[in-house]
Amino acid sequence: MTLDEFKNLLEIYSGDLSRWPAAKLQDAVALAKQVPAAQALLDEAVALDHKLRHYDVPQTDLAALENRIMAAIADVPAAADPRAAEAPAPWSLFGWRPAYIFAPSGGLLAAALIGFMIGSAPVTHKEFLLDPSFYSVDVIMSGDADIYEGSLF
Amino acid sequence: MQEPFNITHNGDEANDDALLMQRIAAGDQQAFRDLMQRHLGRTVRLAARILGSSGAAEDVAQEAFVRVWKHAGNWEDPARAGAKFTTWLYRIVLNLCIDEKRKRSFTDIDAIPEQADETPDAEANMQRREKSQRVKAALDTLPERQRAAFVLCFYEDYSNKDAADMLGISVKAIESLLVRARRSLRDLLQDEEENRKRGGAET
Repeated sequence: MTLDEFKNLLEIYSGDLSRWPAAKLQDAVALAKQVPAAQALLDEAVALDHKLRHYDVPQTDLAALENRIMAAIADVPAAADPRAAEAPAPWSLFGWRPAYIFAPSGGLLAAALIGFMIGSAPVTHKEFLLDPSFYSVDVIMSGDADIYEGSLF
Repeated sequence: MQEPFNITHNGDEANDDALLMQRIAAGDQQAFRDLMQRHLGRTVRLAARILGSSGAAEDVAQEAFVRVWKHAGNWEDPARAGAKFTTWLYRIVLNLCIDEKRKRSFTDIDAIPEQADETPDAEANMQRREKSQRVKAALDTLPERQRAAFVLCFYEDYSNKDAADMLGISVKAIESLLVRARRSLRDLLQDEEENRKRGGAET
């Protein structure tokens, strides 16, 4: 294991070696023992972990919250109730839902096809951006967009 | 009245969750309460660390579990190639947290100064709160995905694979987010410490 690889693994898995993949652990421990610079990196990582562990979150009264939630569902139809089947799926992440992409895009595609057939520009760049599904994806990707582009470090 | 769910204690938490979800899909409120007792604490803690507010975290947890109740029939057991219940639940929670962050910049009631602490440990308690606030402030500066990845892996101790599933991205992408988050947090805390030392030296 090189020092760079060791440093990279520290940044991924922290200074808590119990979190490291077993396949890397033996080499990492050996490197820290043999190379003072590796031991120094490990010490720094452990110190940073210690600082980060100071972040406390206030205790919540879970029993009260549980009762609040039970009261909230009292008026909500259960999954077995046919009325619940009409609700949209809740688990899309960052607001991204395949249906949001493909359904409006279907309309755009049809417009593009008709436009092409009558010989005019089908969908302008501006019109494309007005599609809320694409706008949504654009916003979503803006934070860490480059993680989708291959090079990570 | 339904009987409380008899947990198997065989270490197969995912299987217990799956059994509860089947009953919840059929409208069993006791099964829903049992499921909440298993996951509500971690759900609130996760949301609180991402949102930086315990009040908002409770609202998110409530909304997440209401959605579990409403959509239990849509969840698929991992035995039938679906996702683990916790992956599904925390996806909902993360999604709600991100919506919440975007929607409103709420007053952080947790940051409101508390009344004077006159216990013998007052000084130590104040120092602990200050340290916690410094880390919270640093975490707040991270982009959404970095913060979510870091909270899931570092504070909630999920594997990179589980966190990747929850965020709907690859393990490689999670690793990248963790590296960036850690570097940013290290730099921010270092700068803050140096500024504090400088400020202390000047007074």
